[in-house]
Amino acid sequence: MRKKYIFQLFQDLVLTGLIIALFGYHLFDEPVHEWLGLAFLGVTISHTSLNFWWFKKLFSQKYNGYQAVKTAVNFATFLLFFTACITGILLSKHIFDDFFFHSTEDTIRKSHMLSTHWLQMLIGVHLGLHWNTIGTMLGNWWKLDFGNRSVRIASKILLPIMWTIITIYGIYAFILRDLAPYLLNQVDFAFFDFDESKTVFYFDFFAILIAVAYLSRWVIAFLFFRR
Amino acid sequence: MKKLLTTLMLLCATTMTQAKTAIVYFSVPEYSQPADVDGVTGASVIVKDQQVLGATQYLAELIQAKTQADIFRLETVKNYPTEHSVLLDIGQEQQRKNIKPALKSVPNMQDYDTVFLGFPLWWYKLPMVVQNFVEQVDLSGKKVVLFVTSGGTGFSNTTKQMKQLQPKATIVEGFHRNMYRTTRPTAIIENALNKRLTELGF
Repeated sequence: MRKKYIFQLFQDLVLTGLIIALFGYHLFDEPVHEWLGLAFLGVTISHTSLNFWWFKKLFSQKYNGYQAVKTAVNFATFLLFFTACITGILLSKHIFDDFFFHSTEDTIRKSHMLSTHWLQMLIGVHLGLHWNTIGTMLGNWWKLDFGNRSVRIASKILLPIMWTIITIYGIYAFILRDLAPYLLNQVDFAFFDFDESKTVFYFDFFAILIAVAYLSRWVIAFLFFRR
Repeated sequence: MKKLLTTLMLLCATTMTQAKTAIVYFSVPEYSQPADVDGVTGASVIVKDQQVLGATQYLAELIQAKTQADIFRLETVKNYPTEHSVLLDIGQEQQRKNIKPALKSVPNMQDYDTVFLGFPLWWYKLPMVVQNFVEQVDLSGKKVVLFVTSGGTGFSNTTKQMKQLQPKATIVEGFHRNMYRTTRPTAIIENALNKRLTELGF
């Protein structure tokens, strides 16, 4: 496989790690959250640049339902990302603290929470749209022989079982952590448990991301790729 | 002689039974005309018997009613604004720039062995005025019971901050309540507070 693709896979893994780490605002000191946010902005710019071909074919390609959904999801993800960045920079207390645009406004804070929580959902959908592609790429990279019986068992039975368990746990974590109000703009000040375990926190947010991605993957498969 | 002894004994007895608990709190009743607001975001104000109280002040007075402790309100030389958005700004600016607003007076904590310390949570931390007070008194060996009002999280970083500022004091997470959605005293809050005070031995 081309080195560029391997780099991109690695980069996407870093992005996934960053988005999960960013939700742990309270697990480290505030400057860490702000630097992670800037890192996320940087890696996203690189992620977008390396996929520049996508913009090129935007006006030339023919749209079927699947293409339309993909394009819409990507644009929504971009808008949310943009809002999250701008509000984050405005709210910054450490990196951009004394700039004229520094803000403590309720609206800005609420927009940051609203956009970031939706961003996590949309990144999940975005991942779900590329689920099969990523799987195929990993298979090529590791030169897996899908004719082999144990590879077939792993890819057709064991992995789906694992993802299903993580998805169920992710839904449970979403409910337990009471995240729906964040998506409905009902939260004025975020709730943070400053004493909770980092491992559990990160795993919960990973599971929530996987849940959205895996469910999207199946919805997409059902809608557009039914045989 | 007998008279002197009696007086001494009485004096001893009164010193022993004297209130050894103090309540120190800081509170800003946001909005000067709370009639205009009802459960609006950030309105940390309670109207009780037509009297305007800060949310933390309301809790402090409830604790006082139950414990009969001496009560002190932390007041700054320069008043804080009562408008929500301005207050948010100033509260954060003081924290970022380490500005410690001067206190009108610093209550003496020497004679107390338990101190209830109440404040609104500002940006997940102690308001600087409270930090200023804590830095000026010695709470070593005393039990410090925190009570906090906020819009989201409870004690957050304040417990850690208190432990750093007063390493020899015993810091107890006393009582926390989200108070910004209501402007009325409620039985739920009062009952919960009383229950917690009983748990803490009051």
